[in-house]
Amino acid sequence: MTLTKTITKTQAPRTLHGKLWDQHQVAVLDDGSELLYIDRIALHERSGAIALRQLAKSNRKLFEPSLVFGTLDHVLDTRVGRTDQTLIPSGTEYIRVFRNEAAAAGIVLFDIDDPRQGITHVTFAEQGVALPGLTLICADSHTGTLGGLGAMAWGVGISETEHGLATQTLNLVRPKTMRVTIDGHIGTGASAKDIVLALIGQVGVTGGVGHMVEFAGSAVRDLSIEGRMTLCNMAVEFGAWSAIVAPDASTFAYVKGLPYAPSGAAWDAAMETWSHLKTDDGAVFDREVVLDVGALGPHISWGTNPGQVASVTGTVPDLAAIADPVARAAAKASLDYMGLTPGQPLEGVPIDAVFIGSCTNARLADLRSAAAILKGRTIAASIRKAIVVPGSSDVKKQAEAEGLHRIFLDAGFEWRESGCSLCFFGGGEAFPAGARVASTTNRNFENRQGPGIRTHIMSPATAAASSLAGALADPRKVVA
Amino acid sequence: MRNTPLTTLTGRVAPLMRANIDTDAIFPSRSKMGVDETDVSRFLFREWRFTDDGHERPDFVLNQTGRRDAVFMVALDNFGCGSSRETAPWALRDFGIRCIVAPSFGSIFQANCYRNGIAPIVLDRKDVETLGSLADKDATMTMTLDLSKQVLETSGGSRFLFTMPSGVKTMLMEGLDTIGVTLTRRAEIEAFQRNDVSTRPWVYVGNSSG
Ligand code: SF4
Repeated sequence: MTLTKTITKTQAPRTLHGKLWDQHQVAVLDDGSELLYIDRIALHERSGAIALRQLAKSNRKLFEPSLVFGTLDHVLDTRVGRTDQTLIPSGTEYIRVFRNEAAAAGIVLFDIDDPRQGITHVTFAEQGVALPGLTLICADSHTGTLGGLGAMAWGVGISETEHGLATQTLNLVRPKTMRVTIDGHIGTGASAKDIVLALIGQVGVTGGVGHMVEFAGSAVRDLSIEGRMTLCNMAVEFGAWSAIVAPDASTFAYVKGLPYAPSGAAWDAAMETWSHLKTDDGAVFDREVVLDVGALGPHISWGTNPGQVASVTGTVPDLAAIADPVARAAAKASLDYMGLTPGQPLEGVPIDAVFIGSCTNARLADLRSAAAILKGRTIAASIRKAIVVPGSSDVKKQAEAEGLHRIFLDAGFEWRESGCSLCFFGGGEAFPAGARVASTTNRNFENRQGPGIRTHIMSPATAAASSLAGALADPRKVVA
Repeated sequence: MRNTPLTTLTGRVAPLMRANIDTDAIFPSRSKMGVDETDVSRFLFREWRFTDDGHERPDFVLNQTGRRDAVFMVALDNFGCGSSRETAPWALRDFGIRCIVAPSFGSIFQANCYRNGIAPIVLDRKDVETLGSLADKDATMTMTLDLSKQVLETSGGSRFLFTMPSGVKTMLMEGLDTIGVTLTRRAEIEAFQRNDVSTRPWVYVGNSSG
């Protein structure tokens, strides 16, 4: 009578990713690839407009519209009093096509006036659209952010999005597995952002290519869900296919009561499954990386890829000390673009602008940590543009309820509506020409925030401290 | 999707020997592209190819004699990293590039290539560097790709063998409409879903247009 139980117990230990993959497998194809069931498809107006339009043009229907959710973030203006008009070229067209196609397809859209509007990877977590154990795709490379909730989420292209919309599946070859174990207690003034910057500095921007990454270890368990999302957000910056943190009591506490989260009996049933969402003891990963972040301090990028980072108290590296010739050539090109010299201390490099926002660091905890530094102070007179862009309209509302907006406004920041904003340059609103920007975003690529703009990526606390100093600064030195 | 079949390919080679060429560089965010545009080649490497006022930069490889009609591109590690924008492979494809050779690729970019008739071929960095310098020295050099034999051969006789998973290779060689192929399994997907609704009911709490 108890035979079935004995049989399941003999199964080889599996990784969390392995379990989720098995659970979603619809078919194994002749070539060894798998057809994987997709639980959620997230769309934003930039790529979603094209995907929905192309699907409609090819006379194909959505397989299951109730599993598809849209929001506006990339093109939508973030200036107060915004309308469909946008400074980004062809932006209005994208918003309107997206709105019309979403309505025709019968999907939920968090539109411009919807209190749920926000950056895809922020709002779909807050609304419970993403849940532990779900597969979720979006035509956006930072979709892995939602792995912070224990979802298996990854970025795809527009054609794959269309495939997902039409079939509720994707055809995939299982990526290799990689566990990144992060232990130790980070120092004061450091956050999830500093952990991930240090990690990418160590493994390099290709360190995770072809792998699905599970973050584990005491430092990860200690992070809030928001911090875990920051960590997973940047996994794509070291090439990871996706990233996940096994859901635990903090995750379940975060998810419970969210608008689209299950409740009542459905919640109990979900919890029964979710409690098994962890890597079995003895499961084997294709790659293991271990990082000790004991006493880790704030980090700042000095170059034009997210692996070119140093401690805030450190210096721009000596090129001769970089052994790999390709990395050395890349570092040389980065320094030319960034206008920095080898050996130069990072602290004290003058900045022109500050951006606090993006799917990496614009959640309530991020705004709180920046506001704690800024409270009762004003930004340096040399700063020509300083803006705070909440990650979602809901974050904005909560921040205002706490009075955070007053702190930012009094310090000299603009307080915006939610969206991607100047995380990337869309051809409209810009930083002053050639500006050096302290930014809480995830990409410091050449021209990412505008032609010639020099981006230093860092945590909200470090960006806030830098805004006060008018230069790259150590948040630990701002005395409370 | 620009998935027309690719089996063999012969033509010129454009070497762009940098690492970490991201999709922002390949297709800048500020490109004024309409939702329905079908040829986006003019945005390809916009910032590197043209000055702000629209003049060609003569030192950029795709502006050089013999490279304007390149069908191959050779680059260093992590080509196509960064943003998932499929407009990057579209711009390459619309320009005429059907094969990119690099030591590694950004994973979303690589997946996008297969669906758009572009072969993303991985070789050892040493071989990529050899190929890059051959192409760099001789703008008239051509190369031939044979996907079924998994080989690249230059007009000078250098041969490079590569591997490619069979599923994506077929996708390229047959220019498959992958949605159509998957929909032949519609009954299987529906059966999976029916079963799933009873085992994971909480997945289906999302309501439609509400
Ligand atoms: S905030 Fe920036 S990185 Fe995040 S989705 Fe928007 S544009 Fe992409």
